[in-house]
Amino acid sequence: MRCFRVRALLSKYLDSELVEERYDEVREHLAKCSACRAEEAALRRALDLLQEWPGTEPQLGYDALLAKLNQRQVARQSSVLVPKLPVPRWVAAVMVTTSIALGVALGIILPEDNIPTSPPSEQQVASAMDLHPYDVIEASLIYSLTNGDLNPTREREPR
Amino acid sequence: MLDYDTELMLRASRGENAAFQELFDRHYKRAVNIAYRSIGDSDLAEDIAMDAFARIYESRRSFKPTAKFTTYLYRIVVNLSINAAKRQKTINNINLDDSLEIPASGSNPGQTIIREDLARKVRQAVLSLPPSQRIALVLTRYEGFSHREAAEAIGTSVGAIESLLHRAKLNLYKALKSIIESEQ
Repeated sequence: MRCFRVRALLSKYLDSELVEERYDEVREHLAKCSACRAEEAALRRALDLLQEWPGTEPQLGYDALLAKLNQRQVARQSSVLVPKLPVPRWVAAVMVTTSIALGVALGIILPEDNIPTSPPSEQQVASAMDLHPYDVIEASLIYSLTNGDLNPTREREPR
Repeated sequence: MLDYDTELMLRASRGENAAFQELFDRHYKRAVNIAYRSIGDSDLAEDIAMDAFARIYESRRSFKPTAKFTTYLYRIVVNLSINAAKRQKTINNINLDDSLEIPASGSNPGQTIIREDLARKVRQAVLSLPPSQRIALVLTRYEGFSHREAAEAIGTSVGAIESLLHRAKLNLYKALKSIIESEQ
């Protein structure tokens, strides 16, 4: 067996995962080849060093698991109280974004003639509110009297 | 014929909580240690092991004995550990201040300090491996899994495990080279 082949098999050799025949071939090669033997020894030492890192002793027990299961159940129940959307969240996000974009686009596209530029006249307001013309005159008189436009006792402010 | 753990799990799936508790007692420590050596943080390792058991408990009624219970359990632990290891890699937050549980070396505190230092270097070397190589090494070297069992736990082929282990050992040697050479 050649050195490159042995080195490719060293990992399985060290894990005792080679079939017996292959294992014997690698072992025979290592007995003759000092370079491959040195590599095998170095890898073996690296793997032996792993045992220097000890495991950990768990601090929790079965009671902690029961508490965790309760916690998860409560979390699931509270999530049920939040009403779910009838569509997936991404669909809702697309719908909202599209609505906003459509509103902005309409605002840009629509001609400005549709936007009222001056306040409506008294006649327009009266007809919209279905008032009789006399009601409008009466309201104008009352407004003028209370604000002093027709009040002879009140001095007019100089213009 | 079913193994004892799988029988316990079947009993748990029929509502026998004592059977589930026995499974927990038999495997919790090993599950914690697989996670611990995969991520290097004992608190997070307990969270992962607890999470794995909680998931198994919650889905116990749909358990089918198509594989050994241990394969099922360790696969969940390994997947959760790989995800945690990837998150650690992303945010670089492996908790290396975690204290090591070194057994005291009799009445020689100097020896204990040397062993603690060596343990930290070995831990650092293991955690420097890419997550998949690290977990393959942990399962085979610390937990005694065969290559086939490790492949089942990770959810990959035996060939892929062999390749991961080959690279893991070379990388481990590189990481520990200074220690090994200083011994010669």
